[in-house]
Amino acid sequence: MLQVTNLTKTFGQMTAVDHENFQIKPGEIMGLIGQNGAGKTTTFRMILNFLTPDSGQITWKGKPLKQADYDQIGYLPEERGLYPKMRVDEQITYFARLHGMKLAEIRRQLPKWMNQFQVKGKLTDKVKDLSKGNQQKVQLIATLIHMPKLVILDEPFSGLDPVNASLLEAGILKLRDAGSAIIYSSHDMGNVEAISDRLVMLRNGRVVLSGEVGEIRQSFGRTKLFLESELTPKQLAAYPEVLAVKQRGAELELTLSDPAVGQKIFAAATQQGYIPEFRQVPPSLDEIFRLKAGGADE
Amino acid sequence: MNKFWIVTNQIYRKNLKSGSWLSLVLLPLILLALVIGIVWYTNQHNEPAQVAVVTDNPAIAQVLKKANDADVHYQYLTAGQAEKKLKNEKITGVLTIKTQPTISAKYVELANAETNVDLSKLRSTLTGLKVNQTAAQLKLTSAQLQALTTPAQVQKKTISFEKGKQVAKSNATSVINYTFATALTIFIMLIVTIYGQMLAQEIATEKGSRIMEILLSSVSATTQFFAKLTAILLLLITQLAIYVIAGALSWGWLKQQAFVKNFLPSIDFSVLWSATSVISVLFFIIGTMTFAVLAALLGSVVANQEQVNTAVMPISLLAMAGYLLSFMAQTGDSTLIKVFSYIPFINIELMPVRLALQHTTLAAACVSLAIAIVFLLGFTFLTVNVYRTNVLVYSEAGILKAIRQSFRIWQAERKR
Repeated sequence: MLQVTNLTKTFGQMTAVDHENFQIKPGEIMGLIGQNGAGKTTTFRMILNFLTPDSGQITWKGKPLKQADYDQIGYLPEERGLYPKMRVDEQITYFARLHGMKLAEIRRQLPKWMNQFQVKGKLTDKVKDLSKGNQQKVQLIATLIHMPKLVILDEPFSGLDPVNASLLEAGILKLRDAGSAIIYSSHDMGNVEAISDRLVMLRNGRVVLSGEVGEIRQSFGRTKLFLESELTPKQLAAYPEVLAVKQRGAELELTLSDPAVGQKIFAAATQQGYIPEFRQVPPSLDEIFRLKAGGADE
Repeated sequence: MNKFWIVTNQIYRKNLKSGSWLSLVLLPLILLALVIGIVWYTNQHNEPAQVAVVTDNPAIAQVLKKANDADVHYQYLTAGQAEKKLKNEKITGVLTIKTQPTISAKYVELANAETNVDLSKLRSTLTGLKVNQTAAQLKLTSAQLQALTTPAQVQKKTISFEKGKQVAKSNATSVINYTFATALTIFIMLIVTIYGQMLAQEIATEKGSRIMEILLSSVSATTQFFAKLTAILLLLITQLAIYVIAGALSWGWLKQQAFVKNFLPSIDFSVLWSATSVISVLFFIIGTMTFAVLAALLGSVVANQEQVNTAVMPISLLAMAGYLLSFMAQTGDSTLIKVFSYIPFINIELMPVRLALQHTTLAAACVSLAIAIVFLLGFTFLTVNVYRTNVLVYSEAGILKAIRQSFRIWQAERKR
């Protein structure tokens, strides 16, 4: 288990990470979300020991990380790179050996991974001769082939097309099922919702939200109402609990201050009988993200 | 294999196979082989000039025949025979010698002759004959003749003053020392520039392509730093070893060749083991390492490969400054040059030359060498620390901004 306790890091006057707390258990996927500059990469760099925290603690299985523990980490940086003139197999072998993998084991595993990620190209091809998508796959294989116990992925979905994104998802799930703890950062809330067990949202270095994805959404209450009925936006705006009404074709999107008003609106809308849509839901992660990560400072 | 050697091995092998390193090693060898080949070919096909001697005194022709060597062959012919042979281009030229009233000669040579006769050599041979003839006319004894012809003796002695005392220096040693030191200076300049560029490029490529971060997640920055330095120094050693082996392999053949054989006795190889040469080699080793550390430092600052050329400028500038100052040192030993021969980066090129020119003492060179070693240790220590933060800083705005940013992170890390 990775435990981050009261982690703080400052650069001069700027506080990059401010008393950050979270934990990831084996077999769990955690999404770290926040705007650019929220402190995601600094958090990763402290876990990886590139940077030293001002205060606070990072422990792995209850102890501070040692040099030997880094063999069990798989890290994919935000901006990616490979040696363009190196062969695919040499490239992956080099990174895998640096993570303590034996040569024979690498040779055995490599074709399986190439197959799983559907890399188009031979092991003996030079990296620069592969397409961008296939280079990304090679990079992912290099990050994951040694079956790390702790996987750190900085914006892994950025720049991936939908097919490659789902291959990556499959790869992440494979490691989770094998018992790895996975932490990744993302801007794409769709992916976060689909594969994260838990999420931590950072804002100016501080944790503003933390917990299971479903719980977080529910904690905001069913304040979103999607409605298709005879009621006009004007009629709906008249309710004091309705904060905003947006029209999208026949569908109206209401933001509520109190979920209880939903019952009154349902009664009014169904007075004439059948309506095609009435859906009252918690805000989406995207909206929570905008609300929590992008709002003005308290 | 531990991680240090995995990284070293990878960088070493990657560069070993690279076209740029291979051409760096092979080009000088090919050029040298070409030059030797041309000299050898010319020597192989160098037939002596055939010169007909036409004279009324057969004794003179006999004396000349004794002077036959690799360059010229004399044959005694009549005027008619000589002219016929010359017309048919069987001989190079005709030397007509008159003995009365004194020895004088006329030499006629074909314009398209393959080998030209060295006129000064011809003149000195005939002068010898003329001196003998004149001596006989004057009825001089051989002792008198010898007394007349022995040239005046001039003795040369090179000295310098050490602690007010006059010390004799061997002139031959100083020339070879000087040649050796100058050659070494040029060599140092080339090596530090080329290998410095290579190391900076290596680091900049990894950093620019963000491979650095992946490496850092499994290998510490310090291990990486020393592994890279080691790999580049191993490449340098490999290059030198290839030259030594190539030299040793060709030596067996080379020393049999006339053009080398004639040249060899004039070189006294023992001076290569002189204190000057040993100090120069030590300066080379320390200097190469100092410049390599500088290259690693500069390479770690850049954000992308386009910045590499700007970043490595200080290497070329420092190497060039040392080179130019060591040229200035030949004309005189100014205060500027004295001071600079103790300053790190510059001293490794300047001090060996000053020592070879006998402008300074062995003790002073040792002091400068000690400064270079202490500086190398301190500089390496500092660079390793800065390198760790440098490799995380990307500033597209430029190198200076990157250094400032890196310094801020470094300070933030230090207060821990």
